[in-house]
Amino acid sequence: MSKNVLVLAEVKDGNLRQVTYEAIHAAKIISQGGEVTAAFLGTDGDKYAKNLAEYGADRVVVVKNEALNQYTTDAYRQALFS
Amino acid sequence: MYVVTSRNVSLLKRIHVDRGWLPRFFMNHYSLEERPGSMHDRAISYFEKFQEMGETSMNIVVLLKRTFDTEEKINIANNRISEEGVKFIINPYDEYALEEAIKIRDEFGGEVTVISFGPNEAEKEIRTALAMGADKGILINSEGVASDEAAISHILAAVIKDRGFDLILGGNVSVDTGAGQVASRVAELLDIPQVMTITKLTIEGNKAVAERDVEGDVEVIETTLPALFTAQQGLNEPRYPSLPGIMKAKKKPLEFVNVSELNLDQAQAKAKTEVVELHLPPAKKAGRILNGDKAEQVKQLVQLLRTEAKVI
Repeated sequence: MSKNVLVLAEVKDGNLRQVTYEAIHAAKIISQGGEVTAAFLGTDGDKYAKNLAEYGADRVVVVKNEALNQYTTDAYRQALFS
Repeated sequence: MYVVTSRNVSLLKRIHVDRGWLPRFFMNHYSLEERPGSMHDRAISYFEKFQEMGETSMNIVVLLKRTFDTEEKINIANNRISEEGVKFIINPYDEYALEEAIKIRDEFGGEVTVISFGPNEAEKEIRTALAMGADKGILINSEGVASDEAAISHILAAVIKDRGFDLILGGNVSVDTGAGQVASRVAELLDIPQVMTITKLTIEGNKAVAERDVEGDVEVIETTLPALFTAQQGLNEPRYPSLPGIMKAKKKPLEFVNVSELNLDQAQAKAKTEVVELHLPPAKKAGRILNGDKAEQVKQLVQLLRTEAKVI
């Protein structure tokens, strides 16, 4: 059964973290033909969108808001669930 | 130390003000200049002052899990981790949370309640927590309850909601399953702020300032209370239970709760995940040392990369 999978991209020191690429790969396996979406939260999103797609995300969603540049549980939860 | 709560302040007020004298405790804490007026007025003003203190007293909840001793060897039998002959402990990160709770209680007054979802045997770990200084314990019986992190969070949140709290502390992760989800989920279910992996906590009125460890960096976060915090190593040095503490712990209240008694939305509280398979990491294969002179070794290596490792 195919599944749509969401991957939350993480950045450290201006680069996408290795674990994000690993997560995309794992999502590919789990999705079994479903859609893998990578989400990036923060104003820098455009910089990373291409890489996320290259590493296998079928769709990249960038949420640009300054409040998301710094991780907080509340803001991230709101961004992901709304 | 004498802990002043709203309840015993009003009790003291009744006894001592009526009799027109001040308890030594209050006398000791104020200089003469701070005591204008008649003895009676003074008594009233001191009691009011302490009543305010009583109101800042903290109702603290500690989430505690009974876990495998980190020194134990893990054996798997019938797709489960065998618990035979294994020593159990308080999850070490929960111990930091407990220590912090006791320290805050000692500073501000109030009460530390330890809540655990676990088997009957977890009474031992709760008693240890009570011996360290917690005031009371609640053990939610996990036997026969299909549970994962989502389910456990719903159960814990239901128990906490019924009892009220100012502050919740837990470990940032448990050393057995290592999911690190429960505390976070509990905060979401109770709709309160959460700060994870803290290494320092300062309470000022209804505000708290926490330093959290972010993979080596330090983040300083301010939040209002009530809030939930999870402890990282370095927050403090947990005390050992004292002998009098151990004796007292036997008499401290421990409440046993069954999941069926809780006000729970059963559909929500159902486990959402299932462990399909459990296995140990593959054993590391022994290395092989090639012999012969350098040229010979290179030849052998290339050969092996082709035929055995099949990487070239």
